[in-house]
Amino acid sequence: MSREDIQKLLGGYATGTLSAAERSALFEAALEDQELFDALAKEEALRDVLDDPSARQQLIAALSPAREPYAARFWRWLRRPAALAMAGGAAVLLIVAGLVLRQTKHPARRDAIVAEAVPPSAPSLKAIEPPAVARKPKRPARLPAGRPVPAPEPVAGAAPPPPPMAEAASAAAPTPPAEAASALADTAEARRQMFPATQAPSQNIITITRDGAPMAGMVRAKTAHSAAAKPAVAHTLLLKDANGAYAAVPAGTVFHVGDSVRIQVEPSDAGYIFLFQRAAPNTGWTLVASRSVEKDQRCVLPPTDALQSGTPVRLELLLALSRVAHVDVDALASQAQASSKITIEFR
Amino acid sequence: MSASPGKTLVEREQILLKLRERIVAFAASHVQGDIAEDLAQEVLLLLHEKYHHVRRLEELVPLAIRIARFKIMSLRRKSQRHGEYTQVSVTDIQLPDLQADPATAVERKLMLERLTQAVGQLGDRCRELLRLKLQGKSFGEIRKRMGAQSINTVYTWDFRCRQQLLDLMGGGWEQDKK
Repeated sequence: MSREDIQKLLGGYATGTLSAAERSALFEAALEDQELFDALAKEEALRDVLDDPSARQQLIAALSPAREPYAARFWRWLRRPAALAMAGGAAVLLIVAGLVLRQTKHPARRDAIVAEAVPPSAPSLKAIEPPAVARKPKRPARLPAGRPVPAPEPVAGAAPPPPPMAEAASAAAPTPPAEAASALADTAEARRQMFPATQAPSQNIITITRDGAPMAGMVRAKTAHSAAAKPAVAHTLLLKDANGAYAAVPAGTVFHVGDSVRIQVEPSDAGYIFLFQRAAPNTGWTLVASRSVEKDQRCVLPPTDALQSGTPVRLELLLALSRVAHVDVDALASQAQASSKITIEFR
Repeated sequence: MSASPGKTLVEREQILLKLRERIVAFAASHVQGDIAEDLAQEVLLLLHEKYHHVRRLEELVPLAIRIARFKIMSLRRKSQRHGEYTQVSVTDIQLPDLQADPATAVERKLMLERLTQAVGQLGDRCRELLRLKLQGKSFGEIRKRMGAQSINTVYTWDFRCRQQLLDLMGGGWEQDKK
């Protein structure tokens, strides 16, 4: 070993790191080299301290890697790509799980209430039609005070009609919606219960938020409402002949006093059909007949009787298709469209 | 194979002769020249009377250094107490019991504090090296643990780390008493 190499052994003297050979080499060199001997003697102070086991432990503890604070360690762990990906994935899962759980536990909390019906004849609408749950209104339908209409008789053998939306809403959510929305809902209620004769084929949903502000869907519905569409109920006038059978007659036919007239209707959707009549334009509507109908099911109204008059009169008839059995007659009639009205004249 | 007693005795005498030279020179840098001579003589006397069974070089050198250091420290304290640098009579010389007196304990404590503070400022490699040394690992074991190519690399690391530690402590392990 050269002198320089031996000098490097000095660091091992105080700590007791040197092997026997290294110690021997160091001390032999120190005997010959005063400078090295002096250095060795100066190391004695350090050796004296390090001979104490507690002091040695204290130094070892000071030399051990410092324990980082929890936040620093977490942040360092988070900055690793794999950890970052895991944390991101977990966050997305949590958000999705929270949303799903919220919708599962509180389906009735959805703010949207749904209005008008979808014309089933418009195939393009099926894709955008919301699910059945979403179309259930949250609160019982608030109908204007008026005369209740008796439930129509169900058609024998026919499948029961789908639950009316207002009834479903009554059963689904007892919680009242925002009062601010009630006025708008009332106005739309009758329209919702009834299939209007003119209906926008693609904009048929009214969505009302909790604070009562109609959403974009409603705006679209209103603007598109004026667009012409096919009538919700197609009708044909029937006249009883001498044999007692009813035969179709063209619209605008003038009937004679004593003729028996009935109307064959073909609704475009399932629900309840109502036939009203009045003798003068400004008088109130009188319910003549009502019944439940299936989509595209032909039926005759009145079902058992006929429209007759012993005196010359001009009768206004109103056909209304509704999804609910009990409706407010006034509201239903006031929302009726011109195309649903039929005028027959007995002379 | 062990050396014969006669040969060992001769070797011990030669070692002590060389030790005396080194101790005198070393002590002379700390105390007055004549006192250094006496101090070296006291060390040799102690080695001869109390530690006559110590014969090996690896034991004699550190033992002599330790005794010399205690002698110098004792002389310094006495001089400081009396405010004079008088020769100490033989009768006043007490045999070191090698136990830390309160003053020495305080000095050790202070040095340990400085040392603890200084090692905290070392680099990662030096910290790890010093930690392994304090754990009793030999340089060969340290080389394996630290993945060094050769043991000379570890020697070099240790030399530099020691120098760095000395610098952090102000150039010496002990505080300057001047």
